[in-house]
Parts: sequence; C-alpha cells; structure tokens
Amino acid sequence: MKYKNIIRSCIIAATTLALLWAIPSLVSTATYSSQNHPFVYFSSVVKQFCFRKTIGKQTQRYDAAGQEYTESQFDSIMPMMYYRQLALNGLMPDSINGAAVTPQIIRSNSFIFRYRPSEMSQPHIGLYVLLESMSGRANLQSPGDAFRFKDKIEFIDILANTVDREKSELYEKELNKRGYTFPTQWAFGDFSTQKSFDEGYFALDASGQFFHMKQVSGKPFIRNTKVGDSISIAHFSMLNVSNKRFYGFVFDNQGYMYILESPSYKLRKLDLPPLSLHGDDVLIMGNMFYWTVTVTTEEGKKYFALNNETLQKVDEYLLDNKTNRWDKVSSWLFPAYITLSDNSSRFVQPKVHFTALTAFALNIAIALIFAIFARKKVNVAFHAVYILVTGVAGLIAVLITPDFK
Amino acid sequence: MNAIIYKEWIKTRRFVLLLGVLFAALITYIFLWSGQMMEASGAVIIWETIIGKDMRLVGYIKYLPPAAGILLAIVQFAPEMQSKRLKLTLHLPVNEGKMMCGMLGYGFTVLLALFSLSCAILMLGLSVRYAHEIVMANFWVSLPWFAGGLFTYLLGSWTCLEPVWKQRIFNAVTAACLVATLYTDQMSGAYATYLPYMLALLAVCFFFSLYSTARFKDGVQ
Repeated sequence: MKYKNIIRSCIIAATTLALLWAIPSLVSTATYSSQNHPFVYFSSVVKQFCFRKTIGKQTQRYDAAGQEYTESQFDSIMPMMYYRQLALNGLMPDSINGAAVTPQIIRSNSFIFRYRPSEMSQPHIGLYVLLESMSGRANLQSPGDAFRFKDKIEFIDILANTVDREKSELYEKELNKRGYTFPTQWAFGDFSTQKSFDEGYFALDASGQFFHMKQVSGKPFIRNTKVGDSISIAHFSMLNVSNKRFYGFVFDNQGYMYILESPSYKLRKLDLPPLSLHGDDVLIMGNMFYWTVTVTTEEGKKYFALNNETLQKVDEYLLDNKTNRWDKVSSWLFPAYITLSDNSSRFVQPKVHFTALTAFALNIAIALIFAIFARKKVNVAFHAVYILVTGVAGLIAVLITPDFK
Repeated sequence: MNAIIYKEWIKTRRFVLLLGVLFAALITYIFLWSGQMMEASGAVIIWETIIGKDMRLVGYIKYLPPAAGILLAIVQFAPEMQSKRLKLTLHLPVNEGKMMCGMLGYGFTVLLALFSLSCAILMLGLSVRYAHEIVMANFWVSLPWFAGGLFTYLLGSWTCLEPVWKQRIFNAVTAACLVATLYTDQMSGAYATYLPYMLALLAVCFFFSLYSTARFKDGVQ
C-alpha cells in the first residue's frame, strides 16, 4: 500500500495524543492527595485569624499567635460562625464590639459568596427567567415564561411555547428608552425562588454599559447603573444578601473586586490585590464586623480580613501549598501532558501543561533503552527522538503500533 | 465500486434495519418520557430545571450511537476476517485502498445518515414544546455521542480488520482512549470548542483501517 508509513505515523500520533491525556488522568486520580489546609476564619473577638484543623480524629483549634483553644472556647471567640451553638448553650453575648447582637441580626448580616474562574468561561443556554421582585409571598413564584436576551428581548410563554409579543414589546420599549444597546454581551441573575425578594438581572450591553433589569408589580424596572463609565467590567456575580446592602460582586478587567451597593449602584472596592480571574477561586464569608476572604491560587491560599464597613484590609495570612503526590510524580513522569478541561473553563478544549525539566531524564532513559534494544534498525533514530520528546506515551504508541515490511 | 457497496448493503441490510428500529424505539421512548415529565411536573418546572440545572432531554441516547458503530463494524468486517474471506476481495482488479475506502465509506455514510435522521427527528420533536435554545442545547449535548458512534465504527473496523489478536487488543485500548475523550461528563455545549479537534481526529481515524488491511494483505500472522 502506497501511504502505509504515513498512516502508521498518524496512528502513532493519535495514540500518543490519547495517551498523553489518558495516562496522566489515571495517574492524577491514583495519586490524589488533599492539601488538608485548615478552616480559617477571622475572629471578631480576638481580632486575628483562627484555625480549625482536623487530622484523623484529632481536631486542633488555634489562632494566628499559636494560642490553642478548646471547642467551647473556640465557639466563644468565633460568635459570628458558631452563634447557633452559643445560643443553644445560653452563652450568646448581648453585644460584641459595642454592637447589640442576636442570632437574627447575625444571620441577616452574614453571607457566603463563592467565585470560580469557570463562571467566566462556560456555555450558557441563552434563556433566562425573570421573577416578580416582590411577590409578597414567603417564597417567590415562577412567572410561567422565560426570555431570550441576546439580539433582542423576547419573552416566551412556556405552556404555549410561543413569543409573548405584548410583554416583549413592553420590555424592549423600556430598554430602548433607557439607552440599552443590543446585542447583550452577558447577563447574570439568580432565578431561584427560595428567597423573599429578587433583584432580576444585571446585563452588560453592546456599548459596555451595565444595566439592572427587574420586574416590579408586573412592570419593567430598567436602570443604567453607569458603572460601565468608571471601570471596564469583566464579570458580575449576583448575591441576594438578606440586609440588601449590595446586589453582588463586580470584577474589573484588572482583577479588582467591588461590591455594587443597593440601591445607589455605587461601587465600593474591596481592599484586595488584583485576582487572576481565570485562575483564582474566591470564597468570602462575611459578617457584621469582618469579611474573611480566601483566595485560592496555584501556589496556595491567601486569607484576607476586611472591615465590614470600610472594606479595608485589617489582616492577611498566607498558606503555601505543599508539593502533593501528583506534583512529585508528574515532575518525574511527564514533562508535558494534556487535559481536556480544568478549573478555568467549563468548555472542553485540549490544553498542554508543562511540568518540570526533570521528567526529561525519564524520556532520555527510555529513548536510550529503545535505541539499544529496538529489534528493527529501520527508523530507530526517528523513533528514539519521538520518544525523547513525547516520553512514556510516545514509547507505548511506538511499541503497540506494529511496523512491518 | 458500486458492486462493492451493493455487496456491503446485502451483508448489513438486516442489521441496518435493526438499528433503524432501535433508534426509532428509543426516540419514541424519549418523546413519551419527556411528555410524561411535562404532565407530572408541569412545563414551567421542566423549563426552569433545564435553564437552571442543565437538565438533558436526550440523555437516554448517550450509549446507543457508540454501540451501533461498534456493532456495524463487527457485522461488516468480522465475516470478512473469518476464513480470511477478505483476501478474495483484495485480489479483485481494483485498487485495494479505494476498495477499503468504499467499504468504510458505505458504513460511515449509513451511520451518518441514521444519526442525522435520528438527531433531526429528536430536535424537531423537541421544538414542539421547547424553545430553540433548549433544542440547541440538546443538540450540542448529543453531538459528541453521535460522533462517538462514528469513532467506534472507524476504530472498530480498524480493530476487526487487524489480523493479529494481540494487536487487536492494543487497537481496542487505543480506540477506547480516543472515544473516552467524547464521554467526559460536561455541560451542554461544552464540546463546541472541541469540535475542530473531533473532526480532525475523525478524518485521521478513517484511514486507520487501511493499515490493518495492508498488514492482512502482507500476510502478517
């Protein structure tokens, strides 16, 4: 056959690519080890980071100064976290830092927010559900329609699966009146009905203006927040906080984070270093005194404590990642490997990751062994170089793809 | 070439008909299940679950295309390898590469037609009660599964036509790795960015069987 060698090369190449994905995936699963970082929270009583770490059956509780605590002492220095336990034991203080506290006050001023980099890169179905913002019910009610919001706004009656012309025109007219320019770049909202109010959606229009759209008493409420005039917006995450202090978190293209205050649409910058929006995870546990911000990077976890009023940093702490088993193994086995998905995106796309030059030692060794022991002397040099570059995956591909005369 | 394609049709027509019946039955089941869900939970809940939680309506079809692909490869090429009947075909006065491409092209076209028709019926059926965004989300989620059927056919043929049993196992392992790339559980639409790589791999895999055929013709044992 004419193209035998070309086809064999294609088989080897395809096999190598598949193995560069499959073998590291299996090894990564087999060598998984947790970083076992402690749980970290900023205490509003001792005003420093406090840690809870569990190893086996032993739980250690300590603060940044190294002072150890018993379980009940730990509850007492972290009333914002363990207020339910304190209330149950009758140990709940009347006031903390001069402010009156009750479980209800603490609950309404506390929130948990999480940002994952894949939020910025994931497929979206292109349909949204707009709830009535204040239905007067304990839980919100589904409207019975959904809307598309790319090139125009169109409400679809779910039961009939047809466009609701009247509602669509009502919203389109209001959007035009407020200066909204289609197509929409993106829109974010939370249409969960398990809450007492709904703030609708925040959308970035074609001209980079940031709009708020919700439904109030069956009518469209649309406002240009003007935030687009002061920063270049990269992302918005909505958060329905009980005290309605802010609508959610805005991220700019430099990686800075802001809250969008309610109802003024005023931006307040968080005193944090710029984040890598495509790489860092962010967890914020806020309470009426301090926010504990955890930024998870590839190198480790950075903890920041922000003052709840000013959003200025009051303390920070860094925990470096330990080299885990996968890091150790991959730096000796695979100089490069392929993944199809990772934390930064929810799209499937092959990505090549480079580990360490030390892995080339293995590549050199197996390429040499192949060159010495290969039975057929034809193309040995070419195959040895191929194995040198592609390593274990290339060796297996060459060995399992037969050559013949 | 027409004679070769006709021969392939005679050999596989019963199985192709069976595949058609299986796909028709599963599509009917999907429509019935979707309709019952609508009745039981209400259209609003179903739409909101699809929009908010990425619920799939065509999930039942996931493993049928790869099973169809691998079985068609076996039905088409296993008889050829029994008693080395393929040798007779390869001795015909037609270029062996062209002839194998014709045989593979037949199977590939049959599956492509079956998958396209099934996909079109599914999407048309869903469009009666769902917005086109939901229909498209289901199209994108089923695309790698249908592509998986084409991969299992091409890689299954490569494995069936391989004359040495030990090598067949190696080929099957490689095939499993390549097909597995299409079955990582992801959101609807996540594979849109993988499409160019998928098409390139599919084009390359089409010719793998020619290598097995060349080994067979050269009498590799």
